[in-house]
Amino acid sequence: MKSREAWQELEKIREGRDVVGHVEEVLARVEKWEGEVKAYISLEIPELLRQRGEELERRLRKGEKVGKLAGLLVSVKDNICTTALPTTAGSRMLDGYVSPYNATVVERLLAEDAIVIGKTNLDEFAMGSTTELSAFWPTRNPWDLTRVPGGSSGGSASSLAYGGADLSLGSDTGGSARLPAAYTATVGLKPTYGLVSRYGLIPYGNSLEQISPMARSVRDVALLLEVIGGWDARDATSLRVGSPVFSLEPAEARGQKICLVKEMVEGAEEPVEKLFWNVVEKLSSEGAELEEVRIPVLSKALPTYYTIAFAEAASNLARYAGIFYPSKGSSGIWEEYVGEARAKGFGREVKRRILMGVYALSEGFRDEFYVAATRVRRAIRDEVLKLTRRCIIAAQASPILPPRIGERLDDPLKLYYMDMYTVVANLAGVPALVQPIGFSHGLPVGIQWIAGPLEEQKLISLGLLVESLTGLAGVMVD
Amino acid sequence: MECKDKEVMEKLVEIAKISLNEEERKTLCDELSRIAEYLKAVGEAARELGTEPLYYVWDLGGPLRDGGESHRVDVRELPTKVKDGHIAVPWRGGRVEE
Amino acid sequence: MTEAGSKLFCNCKANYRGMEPNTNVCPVCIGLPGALPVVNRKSVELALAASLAFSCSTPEYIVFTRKHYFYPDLPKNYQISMYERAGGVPICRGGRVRYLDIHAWEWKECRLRRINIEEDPGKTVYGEGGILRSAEAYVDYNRSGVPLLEIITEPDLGSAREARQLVEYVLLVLEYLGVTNPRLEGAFRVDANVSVEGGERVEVKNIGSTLDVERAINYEIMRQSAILSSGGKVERETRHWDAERGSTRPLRQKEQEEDYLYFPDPDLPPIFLREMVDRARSLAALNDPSALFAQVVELGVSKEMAWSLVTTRPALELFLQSVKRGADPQLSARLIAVDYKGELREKNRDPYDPSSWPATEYVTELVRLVKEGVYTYDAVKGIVLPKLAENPMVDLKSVLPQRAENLDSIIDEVLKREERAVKDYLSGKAQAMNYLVGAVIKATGKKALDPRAIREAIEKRLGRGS
Ligand SMILES: [Zn+2]
Repeated sequence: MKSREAWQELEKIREGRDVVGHVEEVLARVEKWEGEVKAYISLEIPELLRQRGEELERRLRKGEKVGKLAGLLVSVKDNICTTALPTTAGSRMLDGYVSPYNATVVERLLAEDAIVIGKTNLDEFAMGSTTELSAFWPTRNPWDLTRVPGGSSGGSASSLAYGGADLSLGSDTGGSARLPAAYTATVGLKPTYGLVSRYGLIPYGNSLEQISPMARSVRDVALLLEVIGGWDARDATSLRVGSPVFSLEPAEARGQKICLVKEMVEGAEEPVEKLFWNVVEKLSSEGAELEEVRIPVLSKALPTYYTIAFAEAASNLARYAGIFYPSKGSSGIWEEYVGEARAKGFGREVKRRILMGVYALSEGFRDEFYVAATRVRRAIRDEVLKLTRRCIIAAQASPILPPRIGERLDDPLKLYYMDMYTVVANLAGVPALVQPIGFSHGLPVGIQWIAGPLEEQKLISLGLLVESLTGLAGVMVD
Repeated sequence: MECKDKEVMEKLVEIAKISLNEEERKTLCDELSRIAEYLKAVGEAARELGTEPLYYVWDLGGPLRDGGESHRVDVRELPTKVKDGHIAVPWRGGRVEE
Repeated sequence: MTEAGSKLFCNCKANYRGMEPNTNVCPVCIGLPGALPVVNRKSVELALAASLAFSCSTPEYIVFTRKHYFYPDLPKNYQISMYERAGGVPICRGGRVRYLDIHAWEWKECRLRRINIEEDPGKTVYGEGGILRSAEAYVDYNRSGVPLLEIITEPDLGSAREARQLVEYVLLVLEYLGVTNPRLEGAFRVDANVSVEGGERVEVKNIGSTLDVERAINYEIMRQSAILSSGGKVERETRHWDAERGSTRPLRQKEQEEDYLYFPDPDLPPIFLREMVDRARSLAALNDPSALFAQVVELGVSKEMAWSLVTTRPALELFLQSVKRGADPQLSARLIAVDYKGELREKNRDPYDPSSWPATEYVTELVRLVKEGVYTYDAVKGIVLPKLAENPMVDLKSVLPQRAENLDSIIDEVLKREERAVKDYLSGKAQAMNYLVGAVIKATGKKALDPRAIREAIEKRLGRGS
C-alpha cells in the first residue's frame, strides 16, 4: 500500500519540483495498471501532457502566478463534456462523439491550470453501480482485480486507487461517486444539489445528480470542490453562492453530534457492519455524542429514487435518435430509422430504464408511480432536513463488500439494492461524504456522513478527524 | 416469472421508439414486470403520507437570463448529414450514409 | 414572440429571419447532451403583460413541463411547454379577450382557457413528393427554441368572421405590447377547432394568416355540413389547411390519443412572477388598443378612422402627438388615417414603418394651413401628401403649393387680357376656365400653385363663386 495526496504534490510543485517529473510519475502508474484495470475510455496523448507540464514549469520559473491546481493531473468521468477528448457517456450511442463545448467544471479546472489526463469509464449513461455496464468494457478494482470498483464512477475511483490521477471528477445521481469511493478506499463527496454546475454533465437524473469531487483524501476533495463549486449562470438549478472556501482544521470529537439512522445503518453484511461500528465507537469514546434515530419513510427511499431517476432518464435519452449522434439506423423510413439507431446505440440496462421511465410517466400510471415518488420524496427530504439541523448523519456506504465481476449482473433488482444507503442524500439534496475506514480481507470498506444543505464544511472537518483516527489518507495500491 | 401485461409493454416500446425483437421483448417484459412490482411501493406510501409532490428539491425560484453571448455551434462538425446547410434525415425512403 | 430578443432558453436570436440555415443554433437549442436551458426574462415579462392585458388570473409562479414526441424538427424529442395537469403552471388561466367587431362596431367577448409559453420547433422542408413521399426531410433549427405564446380560447366563437376578428385583435394587442410583429413571416399560426351541430370537433392546423382563418373555417363548416346533410358522420380528427388549394385535408389516418409523458422540467425551477407584475401591468395599461380607440373616438373622430389609426401604430402615434400640439383632431385623422395612408399604399410603402411617416410638425402645420384657409384640404391632399409620402423627410416648404404675391391684381390683368375666354366661360364653356387658370399660373411665373385655389379666386372675381 502506498500513500500520496494531491495537495502534497501541489506543494512540491510550488517548491520547485519539476511538473514534467510529476507527469511522468503518474504516467508510470498508468503504464503499470491501466492494462488490467481499464479505468480510462480515452487518455490524453502523453506528449501533450508533458508539454503542458513544461509550459507550467516555464511559468513557475518566471515567477508567474499559476492556478490553484497547477500541475495536477485530473481524470474526468466520460459523461462530462470536453472538447479535447471525446465524451461517450460509456455508450455506443456516443462512441466517438466530441462535444463542441466544455462543461463548466472543466472550464474551471483548466482556468486553475489543472491537466486533464483522460476520460474515465462508467456504466452506460451512469446507469449502474459496478461499471460493468459500460458499453466498452468493465473496469476492475485495483485492490482486487476480480472485483468491481463500484459505479457508476468506477473509472474515476479506480484511476485514483492505482495512482493514475491526482484528482477526479465523478458524478453522483444515487451514489455513483460514493459507492465507488467505498469500494476503492478513496473519498467521494456528493455536494449539495446546486453547489456544482451541471452544465456539460450528460444528464441521467437531473433533479438528483451532482458532479462530485473524488480523490484519495478528504483534503484533496475539499481542494477540488473549492475549484468546481459556486454559482454558474448556465445552470438554472445552480445555487447563488460563491466558490466555497474550506477550513482544513479537523473537527473535535467532543461536542460532535452524530445521528445513527437505523434504516441507513442496519442491513449491511457482517464485515462492513463491524468496521462501521469500530469507527463510530471510537468517535464516541473520544467524546462524540451518538443518538439512534428511526425514519421509517426511508425504507421507501430506494423505489422512490429509482422511479424518479427512470422517469427523468427516459426523457433525457429521447434526444438520441440518430440525428446528431454517432449511432445511426439503416432504414430510410424515419420511424424505423429512429428505432434502429436507439436499439443499436443503447445497452440492455439503459433500455430497461427508459422503458421503466416511460411506464412511470405514461397516462394512467403517472400518478401511481412518478407523481407518487415525488410525494414520498418530499417526506424524505423534510425528515432529512429536520435531522441534519441537529446532527450529522452516520450511515453505511454500501450493504456489501465490492462484488466479483459478473456477480450482480443476472438480476437488475440485486444491482439496485447496492444503492440503498446512498440514494437518501440525492433525494434530500444534501451533501454526503464517503471515506475509507478499513479493509476486510483486503477489500476496502467506507463510511458515509450526511450533513445539511451547504454544510460541506462540516463533512470535511469530520472527515479529517476520521482520517486522523484511521490513518487512511492518500492510500493507493502499490 | 411470467410477463403479465403484454399490451402495456407494446405501448411502452412504441412510445420509447426502440426497435426490439421478439426475444428482447419477452425478457424485457418479464424484467419490467418485476421492477414495476418493486416500485409499486411508492404509490401506497404516497397515499399514506398524503404529502404534496416535490419536483425541485429546494423551495426556491429559478433565475431569469438577461441576454448574453450565444455559443454558436457549427453543425457540420457534428456527426450528422448536412445538405445545403440543412440537416438531412431519412423520412420516407431516403438513406443516410453511415 | 418575434420581439423577445433571444430564444426562450438560450442566447440565440428570437428573430432568425434572413439567416443561413442552422447558423442560429447553440448546444442548448439543438439539445446537445449536457446543455441546460435558462429562461429568457423578456419572454416571461412579455407573456405576463399579455396575460394581464387579457385579464387572466396570473399565478404566483410558473412551471415548465416537458412534452415528449419524436419528430425531426424537435432536437430533444421533447418540447418545453407548460402542461397544467402534470405539475406545470401556465402563465395565464381563465382570461378573456374583448375584441372589436368592425362590421357592427361593437365589442364582443371570448373567454380564454389559458396561455402557455413554449419553445418553437425547427423548420422542415421536404424534397420531391412533399411531406408524404419525400425520401429525406431537411431541417433548419434556426427557429428551434424561439419563444412562443400558445393562446387557447374557450369555444365562444360563432362564425369564421368572429374568429378572424378575434385573431386580428389578439395580434393587435400583442403588437402593441411589443410581443410580436405579426407581419413577419411565420410570426403566428392558428389552429382552429371547428364543429357543426351534430358532428364531432375537427381541428384544423397550419393556418398562417388572418384571412385564412376565415377561409379555412368557412371551408370546414361547408365540408362538415355537407357530410352531415348527406347523412354521414363527422369524426373527430386533425386536418391540415392547404392555403394554396383553399381546402383542408386529413393529417393522420388514425387519431390515436398520444401519450406525451408530461412532467415538470427538472432543469427549470419554478419562476416567481411577483417582481415582474407591476411593470407588466403598466406595460399592458399603456398599450391597450381598446383604450386608445376610445380615446380617439372621444376626440370626435369617426370609428372607421379611429380604427384605421389604431391598427397602424405609427399613424396613431402621429395623430396623438399632433392633437396634443393643438391640431384639429378630425382634420388630422382624415389627413393621416385616410389620405396619407392611402398614398403610402399606392406607393407601396410600409405604413407600419415609422420612417414612412412625416414629423408631427408637418401634420400640425398642414392642418393649421387648411384650418386658417390658406390652402384647401384638397390642395394639401392632392399636392402635398403625394410628395411627402415619397419622402417624408423632405422640406415641407418645398412641397407646399406656392402663393403668388398680388394674385388678385394678376387675375384682374389676365381677365382683362383674355376677354374672349371670359366670354366663353360665362356663356357656359366650362373648359375655358382651365385655360384661364393656366394663364394666371403662367402670369405669376410660378409652377407649384394650387389650381383649385386659383379657380376659386377667378370664379369669385366673375361673380360665380360659391
Ligand atoms: Zn441556441
